[in-house]
Amino acid sequence: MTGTPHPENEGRPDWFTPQENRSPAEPRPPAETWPAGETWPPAESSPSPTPGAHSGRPPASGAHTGPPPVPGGRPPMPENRPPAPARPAPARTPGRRREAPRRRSGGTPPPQAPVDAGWTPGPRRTFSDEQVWPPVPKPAGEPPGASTQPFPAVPGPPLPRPVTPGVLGAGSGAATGTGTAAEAVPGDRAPATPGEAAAAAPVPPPRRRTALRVGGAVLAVAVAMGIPTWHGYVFYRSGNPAYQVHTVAAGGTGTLMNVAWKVGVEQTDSLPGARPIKADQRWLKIKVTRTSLNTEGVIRRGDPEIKVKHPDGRAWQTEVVDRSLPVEVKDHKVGVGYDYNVVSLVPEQVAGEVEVEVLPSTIRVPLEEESVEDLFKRAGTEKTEPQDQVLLFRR
Amino acid sequence: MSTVTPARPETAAGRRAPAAPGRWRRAGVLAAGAALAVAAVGLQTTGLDREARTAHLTWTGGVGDQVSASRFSARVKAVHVAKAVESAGLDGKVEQATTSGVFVIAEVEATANREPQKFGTPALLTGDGRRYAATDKVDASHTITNPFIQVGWWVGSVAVFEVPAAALPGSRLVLAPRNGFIGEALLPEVEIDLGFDEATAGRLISNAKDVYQLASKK
Repeated sequence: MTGTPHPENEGRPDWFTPQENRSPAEPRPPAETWPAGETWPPAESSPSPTPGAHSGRPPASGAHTGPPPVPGGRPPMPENRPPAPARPAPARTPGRRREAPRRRSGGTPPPQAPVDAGWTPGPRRTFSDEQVWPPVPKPAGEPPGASTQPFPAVPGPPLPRPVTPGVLGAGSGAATGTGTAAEAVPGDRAPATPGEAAAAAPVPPPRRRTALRVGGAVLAVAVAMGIPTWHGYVFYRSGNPAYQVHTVAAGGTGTLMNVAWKVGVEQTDSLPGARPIKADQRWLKIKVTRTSLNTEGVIRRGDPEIKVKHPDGRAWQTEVVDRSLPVEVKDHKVGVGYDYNVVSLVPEQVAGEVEVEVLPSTIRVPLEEESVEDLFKRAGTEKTEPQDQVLLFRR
Repeated sequence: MSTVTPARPETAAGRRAPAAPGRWRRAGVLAAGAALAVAAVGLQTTGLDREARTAHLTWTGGVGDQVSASRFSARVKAVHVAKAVESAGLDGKVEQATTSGVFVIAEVEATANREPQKFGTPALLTGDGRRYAATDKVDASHTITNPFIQVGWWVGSVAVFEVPAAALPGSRLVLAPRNGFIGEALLPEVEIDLGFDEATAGRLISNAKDVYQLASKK
């Protein structure tokens, strides 16, 4: 319809041009000029609707969820063919109406639209009738689905449909409407009479889905509270790992990560070079000896964390005074013990009870001097282990 | 077509279309939604702000009292007011700090409950609502922030503040553990009222020592 006129059955449908589906023998005015409310009052020709059968159904929704009613006396339409479209009633706004003349200006004007050649303010015009129902037979060559014209909004009750629980979508309703509209006959409107509606079975209440709603609410609350809690716990554990304590008997040797650890504790009242302490305090001289069992143990030569703890949980500060660890890696021998000399100040009454905890470092220091490129290459490839392995040396 | 079945007449009346919500119901739903939104916004205003959420938990006491917080106990033995503070530097030289206001020197003792810890910078809350951090004119190694507070014995040191003379009345000393790199919320702190009213403050200021000698490290 735009520009050069082309056959109606050309492959791609024109979505905005009103389809001229009428047969050549049944010409009609353009679809835009159809006055829906005036030419087709279905309530007059259909049986009186029953209030119980369609209470609360707005008339406009009937065009989408159910088949439009069929006026009495209409012959049934041929099957397997959607009805011819027609412009719905809301399309009669002035803005929409102006669309047709503009599109038609370049093409061949329809033969019976002389009044609609252009919009000009003036007195209200009236238009002749147009058949929208039953659908006019369309040209045989038109492919199915070529027409996108919706049904007109039909003021009236929807036709009853078979109950299909759970399927209430508008799409299925429209599909049903398309099918039934072609075949609907006046006899189908019989159940809408008041007598049959009253005699029908009691209406089943709509499904509440209480369990589903309650379950969803519980799930939502659980997720909303659980995720921050879990996040906080993970954050807390990042700073306070769950320690795995490996107890070592008095004088024994504990082995972790290819390194053997040994601890010796001495008590003394004074340290050379240290300030004098109170009478109820004792110095602890702690010697922590590490022995690499193999090369992997040499790689794990980072400084350990050394704590002095009482079994009841009290802890005291420790300080590494010196270490005999070789500075150069090549001097680090496998099987040779190297010492950390640690001092700690503890109350005298617990000096014989406190225990030493050693947390070996999990850092893997490479054996060779590493270039920056290698360092960056290695970065991120090794999984960082939490420093959560604890050797507890009994006294 | 196939959707037209003979069962239609029987099922017709059993199917009741859901009633469209009426105008009053729509209005009610809208009002309920607006009320919920207003309630949500209102609840936000009652929530703690960031400062209050991460604030310390405070234990209070007076001069001479042992104030026991969750991780440590502290007490203020004495409070001095001076116009200058002298302390020994690292090389043994005596350094003197002077001020246009006054120095408030609090002798503080503390002990830990379980684990060794250090104090963060002490603060002085004055009666007019201001907060003064400990002065940096005195080296921190002479003050309470330096030693480890440990279980089993009391560690004594001083906290030195430099404040205007008029700010003294009603001031309190605040001590809290040092916070780590990842700030810990709800740390314990003690707030010790130094017992300055107008008369005491005026007497202390008029009798202020010219120079207060900080004891060197033991």
